Amino acid sequence: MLGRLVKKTKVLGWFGGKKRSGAGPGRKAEPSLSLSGVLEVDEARIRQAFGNSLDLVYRRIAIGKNGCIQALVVHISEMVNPQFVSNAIVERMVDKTENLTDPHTVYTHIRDRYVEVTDVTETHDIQRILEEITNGSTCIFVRGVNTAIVCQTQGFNQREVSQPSTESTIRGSKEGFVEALATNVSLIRRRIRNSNLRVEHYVLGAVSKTSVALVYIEGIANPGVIEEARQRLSRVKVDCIQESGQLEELIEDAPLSPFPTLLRTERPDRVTGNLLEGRFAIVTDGTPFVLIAPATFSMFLTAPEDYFERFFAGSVIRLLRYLAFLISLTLPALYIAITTFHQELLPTPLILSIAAQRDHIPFPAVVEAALMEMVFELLREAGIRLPVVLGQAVSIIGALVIGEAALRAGLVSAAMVVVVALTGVSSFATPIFSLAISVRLLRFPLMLLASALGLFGILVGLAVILTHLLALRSFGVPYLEPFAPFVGREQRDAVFRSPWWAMDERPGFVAERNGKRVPPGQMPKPPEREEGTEEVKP
Amino acid sequence: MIPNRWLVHMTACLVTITLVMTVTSGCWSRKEIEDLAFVMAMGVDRSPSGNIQMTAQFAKPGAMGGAQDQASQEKPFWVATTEGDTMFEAFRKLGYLSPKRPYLPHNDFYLFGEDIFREFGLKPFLDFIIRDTEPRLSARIGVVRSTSAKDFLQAEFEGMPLSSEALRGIMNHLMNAWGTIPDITIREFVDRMESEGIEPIAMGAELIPLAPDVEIEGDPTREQIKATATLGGAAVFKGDYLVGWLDGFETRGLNWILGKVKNTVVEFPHPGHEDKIVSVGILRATGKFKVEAEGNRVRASIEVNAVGNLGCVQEPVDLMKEPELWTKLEAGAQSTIEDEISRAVATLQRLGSDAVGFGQYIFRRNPRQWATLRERWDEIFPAIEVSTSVKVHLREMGVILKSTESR
Repeated sequence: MLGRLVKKTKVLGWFGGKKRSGAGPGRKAEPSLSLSGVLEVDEARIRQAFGNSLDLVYRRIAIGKNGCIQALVVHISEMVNPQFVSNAIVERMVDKTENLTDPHTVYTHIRDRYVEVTDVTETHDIQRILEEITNGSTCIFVRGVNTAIVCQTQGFNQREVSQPSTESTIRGSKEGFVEALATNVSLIRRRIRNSNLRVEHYVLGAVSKTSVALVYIEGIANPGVIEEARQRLSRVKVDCIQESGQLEELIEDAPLSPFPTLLRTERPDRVTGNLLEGRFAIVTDGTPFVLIAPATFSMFLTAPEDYFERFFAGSVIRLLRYLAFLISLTLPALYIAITTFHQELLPTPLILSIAAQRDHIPFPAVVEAALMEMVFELLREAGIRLPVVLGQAVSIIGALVIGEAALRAGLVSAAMVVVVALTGVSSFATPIFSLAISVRLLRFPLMLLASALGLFGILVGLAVILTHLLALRSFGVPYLEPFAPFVGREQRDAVFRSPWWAMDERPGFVAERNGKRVPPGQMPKPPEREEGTEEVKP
Repeated sequence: MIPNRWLVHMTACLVTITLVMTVTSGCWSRKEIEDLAFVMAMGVDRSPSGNIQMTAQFAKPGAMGGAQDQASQEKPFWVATTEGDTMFEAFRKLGYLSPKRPYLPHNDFYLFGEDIFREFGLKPFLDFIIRDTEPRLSARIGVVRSTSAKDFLQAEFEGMPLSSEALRGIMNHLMNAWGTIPDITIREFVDRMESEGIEPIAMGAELIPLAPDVEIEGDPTREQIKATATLGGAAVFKGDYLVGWLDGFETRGLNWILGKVKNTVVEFPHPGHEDKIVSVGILRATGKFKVEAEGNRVRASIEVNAVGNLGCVQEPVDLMKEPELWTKLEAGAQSTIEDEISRAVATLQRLGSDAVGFGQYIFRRNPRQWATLRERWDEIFPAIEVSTSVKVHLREMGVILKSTESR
């Protein structure tokens, strides 16, 4: 039965009335059963649909004068706020209806006056009732009435809003997304208190019915891009969405590219910043990772802090990150190429020092490098998988085994350890992990090329990577924008971060319609003195 | 899904190309760093049998002492000598002696023993250096005076055990703080050799065979230094043949004319006390010359401007009380510089080698006139009348106002 449910349906969410105004694929009209008004029949239908699941609560209560009217309250025990259901619904249903005898009057009174819930609707469609119950609503049935009252009473255990663990900053908001969609959307909405913020709701996953929200700002985001996003979301046909990474693979532009074309983040401030540049965000229920698109390369090397620290510091640190990106991509390859092909490139004292270190190493440079990189990746992976309490043990073993023992045993040279360590540290400097991963992967073919062809091989490898990057697009926006195609105005926020008073425009490729961000001339200046007035001395 | 298929094809193609490229090329021209013997200095002599005798000084990286080890007792270089008909052959023959592949790009010095010029010009040697891919044209060229280059490369230095590094240290110091050696690389040497109206020069190098007077203590395993070496002066060429030498101060005279003196010490008699010496530290100097030719009569005028500070006096001076002394001191320095210049020019004229480039000056400005002078330049050059104008400006007298005086 669940399998036959409509795949892309706008269902009632938790966002108040507004969300229903958002466009989206219309609900397909399917013939479905209606309520009979006979409590036993309807309960049996619901029980049949849920198959006597443990966590369903069917509460029969007698209301009205002397309890003459039978009513049924149905919800899932751990999806609702139990306190709320008992206080605001059951208690009041019993207390307030003591003088009434007519089931229909009782029903309308409950619906319109007694239930203390803001979002109350009614329906006679059993299908819809089932959906609502799985979403955490409470349904009220009254004997003799063939519609049910649906109260939004979601309340389940969720993680507190806490610091994002994968993207930490020194300055800036300490809030990170959590697993609950509603909370995440509220984190965004709290930062953009504007009626133009649109939250469109999608239910993806034929079995899981995961809520997914498409968030953008009407009037800033490019409508064409938003339409494309809607199309792609509605094309998703899977049974379950567990994490936004799954969704990412289903809607990205270049599914075979090692580079991510959607940016994932745990930080609400990054999402708001990008929404204001005209991008959109996809919030997935069940994961704190929110997707942002259209994503360009420079976004992956940007940290929110760049915008909060003074712009000199922000620019220099960002430049450093670009350097770290290059180092983590090419340094082992360069080391291999230079020590096996181009010994003339290094200053004499340095080459002699490296030669001295490599004197007793049994492996060629490429084997040594691959070995060390592999050990490093192993340690990193082990460090992530291990229970936190054991993490220290790994780092101690790592430091001892690699740093000391391998060196002493003459298996690797000290220069190689430095190269690997520098590469590792550099790869940690990439703020978005998904880019760091692709760089980690691309490092190895580059090392192979370097070991066979030297610098020429590295150039060939880099040319291939660059060509690929040039061909990449994310929702129609060139991936390397604003470097290629070169957009002069946007260099203000690419490698360098200009001061806020100089960044008065939104990126042109993304926000086509509403390009002006703020009026120009925001640079702080001493007040102009009027003619003849005395300067006021403090 | 046409783009996907295209992407798959592209990826497959790229992977195949990459594999073919890496596997079939067989790591061509790959050389592991530990299999290389870095030549740090190269000497060329004439062997007793009349062949080329090549001496290479190899670095021993293992003996240089890495960060963790203490300085090794071992000598950080070793020297190998081969013989051959050509440089190329002799260089390849180093492979008979060196277990690692001799590697030239890090070589900084090409030193020629004075002996070879009895029989050879420099051209056959230079041909290898400029034709082969490994030697660097930025290496320095020098001529070892009176001893063989082989002996020179065996010399040891204190402080910098690797002798080529030590030589480079001395060379840099002499260039930057004295100006008594020519600043010349292989490239410039060949340029001068090939150009009209200018002759090449090379660094002078000399073995000092005496053991130093001081007893070397605290290092019982190391043998006492037998010989050390130094640089100084210039070897003067005509074409590719050695014709004579300029001593250190004559070389500085040449460097004054060419504007290549950076920082140096100039001494002259104390004004008023002829037996006492004043020395002046020159901070910077410019030099230029002009050559005018009328028929066979060629005149050159040289102009040198130098700025310096008072370095040291042997007789007290009080420049606050006697400001006119400034001019006298400046005049003293000027006369020393003038003397060096005229000695340099005189020696070059005696040797018949136009190392200053007077001829080049004419050639560049008046090629037609040069064409008429060119054939007779050997006769004209020694007769060139040279007028020198030197201006020294002394700026400071150090951090004391007047000399110490005993009461």
